[in-house]
Amino acid sequence: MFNVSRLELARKRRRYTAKSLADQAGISPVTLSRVVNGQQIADERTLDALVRALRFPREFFYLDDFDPVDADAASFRSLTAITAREREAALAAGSLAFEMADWVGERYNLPSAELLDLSYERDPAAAARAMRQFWSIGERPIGNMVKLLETKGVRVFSLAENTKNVDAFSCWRNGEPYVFLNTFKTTERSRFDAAHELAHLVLHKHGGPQQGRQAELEAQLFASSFLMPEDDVRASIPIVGGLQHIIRAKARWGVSASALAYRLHKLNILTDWQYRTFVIQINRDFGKTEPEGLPPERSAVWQTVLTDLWKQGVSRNQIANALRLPHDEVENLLFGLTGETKPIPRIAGKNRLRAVE
Amino acid sequence: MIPVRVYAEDWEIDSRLVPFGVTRAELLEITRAVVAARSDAVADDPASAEGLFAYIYGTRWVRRVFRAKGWIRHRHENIESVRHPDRPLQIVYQSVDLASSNIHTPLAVSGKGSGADRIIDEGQGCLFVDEKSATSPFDPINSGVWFFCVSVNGDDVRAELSLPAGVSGGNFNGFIERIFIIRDGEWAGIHVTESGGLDPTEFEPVVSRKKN
Repeated sequence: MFNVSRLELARKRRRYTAKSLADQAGISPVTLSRVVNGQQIADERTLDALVRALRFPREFFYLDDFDPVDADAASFRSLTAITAREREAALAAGSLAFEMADWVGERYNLPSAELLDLSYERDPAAAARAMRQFWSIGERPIGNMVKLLETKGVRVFSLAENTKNVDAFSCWRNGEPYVFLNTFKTTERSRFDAAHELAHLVLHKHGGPQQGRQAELEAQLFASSFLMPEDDVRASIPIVGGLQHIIRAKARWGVSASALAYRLHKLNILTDWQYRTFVIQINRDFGKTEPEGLPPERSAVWQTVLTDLWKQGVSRNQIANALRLPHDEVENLLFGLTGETKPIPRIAGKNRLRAVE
Repeated sequence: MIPVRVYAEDWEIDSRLVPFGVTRAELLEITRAVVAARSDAVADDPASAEGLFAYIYGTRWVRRVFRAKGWIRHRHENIESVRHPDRPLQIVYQSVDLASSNIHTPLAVSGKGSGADRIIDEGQGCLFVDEKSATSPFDPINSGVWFFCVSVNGDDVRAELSLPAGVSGGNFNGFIERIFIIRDGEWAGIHVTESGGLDPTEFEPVVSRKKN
């Protein structure tokens, strides 16, 4: 039976409004509305048109209800900048990721979640220290944030959203933590996003984005402390000689020059005046690019799983077929984490929507 | 008098540390913590703050590094140390005037009291029960009360792991063995090249295929 909830999921994933989907499918918005509301059973021609417009395999729409990402439990960055359509598209990607995670989980033993519930901790820096101690990292820099999260049982997926407004989001599902990273960002930004989402998972496990700006600030402080532990920063950079010093030093913690300057300022290693000067210099000299940027971080879990499946003769396309997902959606969920595929460009705004056969 | 045995070359330092179950990198971690702790002192603190922080964090990190290997926190005669679970081997943190110098033996910056005198006597005394069974001067000693000595003189930071012969006149009275951990001029290289020192932690998640 045609599952209307999956029609809605695909529509949100493709960033269509109901009207734009109706336009693309060549049906009237009223017809679409009636189909969605269960007032009308769609005929085969209408279904064909919708399936074509959405570019999802027909079988996808005949599966059981999907597991939605609890919008209240998902924490988004850039709360003010993100549009409802971007948010819905990201959440829809989360639901598709759940299905992929379940499929992999049925076939592979993956690390179990080893995260603390630090929702009682009011000091984000203390929480970051506690997390480091729990994982026996001490003061050491973290080589690869994606692998660290995966080792500790976090399921990491890519959000190949070509928009600066969706940085990352995270959520808990059936006791398993999920992190979705926008892999279009620089590695340094992506690492910081990963630490930021870790903060939400451990600090705000029992609360959602309703905690708003305060939760975001806490997550920023946690991420900064987690990636750049105070003692190590102080031992490594007691005095800052200039911007070049910061740019050389940032590689140790795998953070952006801006993030390190911010941390040094918070630790009173940089004065207010020095900090302002460096921020102006960084913006002027580098803009949105990252000087001496790091190579992208890869997922160990996905590489292991995909390599093993490949050895068994199972390609990514076959995985997509098994999941009844479009190939581009599987590629997008893995984009940047395995480093072999190109994401499908996202087209924002109804005036720029076009059907791709 | 037992002559002091100095381990100052890379190859001999690394192999000499094997019985302790630590690496130079881990001992460097302790030194970093000490240097970082000293830099926590601000102008409003008491004049002794740098030394006090160095002692607290040096002791904490000595314990942290060795307890992670199964050693036991130990406290005797007001001396804070960490003790090997099976052997009569202890390690104490010590701030000194100058470590890892071929022409100077380290002196504790705060001096050594009667407690240290007694535990060194007890610890080192058992090494030489009688003349016949005395340890050969060229045999490494893997017991006794060792001191992880760190000196910080501006940018000149050095460290050594050493076995004192005793205490006299309120300070160390010579050493039996000295293992140079951070030698003259090495800290600048470690410190200036920010990526040096502690290696980043690396993780590899374990994934296995489920049995059908």
